[in-house]
Amino acid sequence: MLSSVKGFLRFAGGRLVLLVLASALIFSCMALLPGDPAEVILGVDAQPETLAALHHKMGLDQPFAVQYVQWLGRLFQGNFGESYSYNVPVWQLLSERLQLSAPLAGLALVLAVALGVPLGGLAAIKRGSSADIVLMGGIQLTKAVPDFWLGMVLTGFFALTLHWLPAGGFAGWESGPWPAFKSLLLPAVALALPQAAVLARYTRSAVIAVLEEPFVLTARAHGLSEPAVLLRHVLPRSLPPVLAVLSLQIPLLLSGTIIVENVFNLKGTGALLLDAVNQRDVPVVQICVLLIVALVIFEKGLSERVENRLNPRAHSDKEGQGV
Amino acid sequence: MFYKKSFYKKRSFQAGVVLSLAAVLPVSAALASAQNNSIAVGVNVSPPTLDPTANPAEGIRIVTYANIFEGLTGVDEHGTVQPLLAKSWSVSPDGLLYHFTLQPGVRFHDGSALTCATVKYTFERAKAPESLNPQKHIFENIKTISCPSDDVVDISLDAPHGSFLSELSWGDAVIVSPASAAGNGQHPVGTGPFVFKSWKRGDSVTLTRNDDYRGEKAHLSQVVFRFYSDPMAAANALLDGQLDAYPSFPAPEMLIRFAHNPDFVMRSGLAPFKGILALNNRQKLLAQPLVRQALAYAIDRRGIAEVSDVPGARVIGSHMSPENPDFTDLSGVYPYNPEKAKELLKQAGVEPGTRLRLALPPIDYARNTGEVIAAYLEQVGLNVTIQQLEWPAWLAQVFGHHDFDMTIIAHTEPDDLNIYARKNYYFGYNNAEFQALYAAYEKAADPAERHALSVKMQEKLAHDVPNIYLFFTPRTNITRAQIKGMWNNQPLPACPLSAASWGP
Repeated sequence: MLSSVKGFLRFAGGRLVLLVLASALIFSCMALLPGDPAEVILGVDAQPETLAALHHKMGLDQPFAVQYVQWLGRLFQGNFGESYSYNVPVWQLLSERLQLSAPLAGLALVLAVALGVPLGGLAAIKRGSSADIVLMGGIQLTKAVPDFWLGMVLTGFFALTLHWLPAGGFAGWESGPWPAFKSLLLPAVALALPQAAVLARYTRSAVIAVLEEPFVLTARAHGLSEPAVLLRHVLPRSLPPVLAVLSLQIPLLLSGTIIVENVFNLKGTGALLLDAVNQRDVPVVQICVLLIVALVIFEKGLSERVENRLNPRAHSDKEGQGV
Repeated sequence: MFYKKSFYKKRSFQAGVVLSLAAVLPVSAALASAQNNSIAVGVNVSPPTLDPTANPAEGIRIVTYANIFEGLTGVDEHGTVQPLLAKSWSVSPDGLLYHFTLQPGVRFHDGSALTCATVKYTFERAKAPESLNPQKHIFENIKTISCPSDDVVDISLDAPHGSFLSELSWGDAVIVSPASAAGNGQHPVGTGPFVFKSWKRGDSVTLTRNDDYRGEKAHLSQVVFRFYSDPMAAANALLDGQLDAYPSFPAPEMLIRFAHNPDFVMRSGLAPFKGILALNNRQKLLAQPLVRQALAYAIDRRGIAEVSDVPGARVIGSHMSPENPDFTDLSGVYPYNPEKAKELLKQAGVEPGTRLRLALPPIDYARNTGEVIAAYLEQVGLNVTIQQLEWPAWLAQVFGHHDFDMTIIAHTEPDDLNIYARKNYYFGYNNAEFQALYAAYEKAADPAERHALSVKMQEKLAHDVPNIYLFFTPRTNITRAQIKGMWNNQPLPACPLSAASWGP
């Protein structure tokens, strides 16, 4: 019991140090970039006195290290800071954008898994058949297609020609779940298809590897039906590598959607981060990137734990604590 | 003014493809907007806050100017100063005392009344040391503001300032209420024909009609401004019916999608757009008038204007765009003449192969014309290094540290000849003769005298070429065919919608 508490503390402490290090790195990167947030706000007509007044208001007249320590201190008090450009708390901006980005990422993830895993499994079972060749060809093609291009094609067909779905923009949850869902569907498909292709490829090779294991032969020899062999024995054992890939895709779906957001004129976290970098809105960049880092760390812990469950023989976490 | 048909002829194949798409377009979405008497307007720039008195962003002015906020004076579509919150005024002969009479019965959206005290509060707030007003200089010249009665404002100035009335019409000088001023960034409260309703940051701002407006009320019951960073998404939104109008559509290459579509009307309008090749006049080489004149001769500006791909783009010869009443055409002062350019460079002792840096901001017109300008300059023996910068880096390097030789940028502020009288401005033009002309212009109150001085300043710049004046491009407004009453011209950043309506 005591050791597990200690283990947990060590685990959490390690992650925390990692996050602080990441924040220092992000802060330094932003400081190294040329450009001054106050200059960006005031533009080409800025007068020197106004610039000085704004510097003072934003605390930019302080040395860089002082700014960082103050920021870190506020963060530990639960204060995420205020956006330089929008003059509102960063958490408010972020929560506004997450109302779009979280469901979009979730929908894309569900679509990617629902398409990628069964198709990959099917290709593995039918390995070498014409179905496998057609599937793998299609998967290869989908993987090669850039998501923004897919977005443009989908918009042209489903929105501008057929008028089934809106061409872009987010209807907002206040307009009802159905319009909101409809406005997220095309971007989610554009995001999901290339990811589904990646998942399908990994699923296929994972399933093939498991199918060649001796215990599959044993299961068949026991007289188990083929679906039972696949569902009870093959599937659970082929999931760990697929989950590992998936855990890398989730942060990508939340943060790497900048181009797709642009094509569909969605103002999500991707657009927020891009604008923040372009405007040197350091508090927003800090929190957005930290969130992504935290997500990756959390995801990794989670997938390790699930992997351990699925495959007790593998002990990836030496302390045996998981998350 | 409509575009000439011939512009689209060379692209008739593309037009055919677009037409077939347009043919299947239902107009249901547009009709829905018309029925509930609302309009959705597309804008390129998203506002960071909604307070024009504390931030120069164009997006703030597009949304709020003359819709939510009003100034003592206003402007019409042609840039002429008109009465707004002040119904009349008089100026003392020495140009030092301005006597305004306010409109009676003006109320802010929160119910508070407009009085002389409100005006005094507004201008003193803008003048204060901690003020972030982008055009603080307008107010710094104010000596005193006194209130003989609630609806009379007397403003005395330190020095005569002939542009005062016109500057009071800018977004930076709108009148705010002491009760709501602090919160205007997030929830703007003004006196205008529309009331702020909601804001999805980065996405859209919604306004509703002010039914208590003092004068003629707005026709539309609701206005939604939507922000687009990608012109393709903006064009799709128009065709899809999500947008009803797009003033200043940013991508000329996409206009073809609307050219033959009967649902849409395209109008060309004027705006104070001055695209220039700015030169660092502090740099040893570029400080010499001969070298600057050589650069002006070396570049075929007619060619550049054509490259810009905007119908109606034209060469300018000085820092003034054609919509300005003071505009005088000086585009012929240094016609394209590479031989002459080489000769002048030789005279100035500039060796062939001399290196000049060209810093480019991440803006289409700069990136598109940068390569062409570099090629022209290389033809007269200069060696041009192009430096692509992102916006904050451009601001820091060029604008902040003056670390550049040449850059391409468009100045879009109205009446901004004053930047040539500022010694520490980024291009660093420091000319006593021009400064004297500008001081005289500022002092003058007589319109004829001001016009004559403005022309003199333009001529001085055209001959002295502190910057190479490249081109003016009109803006393109796309609206649904039924929409009436929107501004075609944009004398200052604004999109006033009180007169806009669906149909006759």
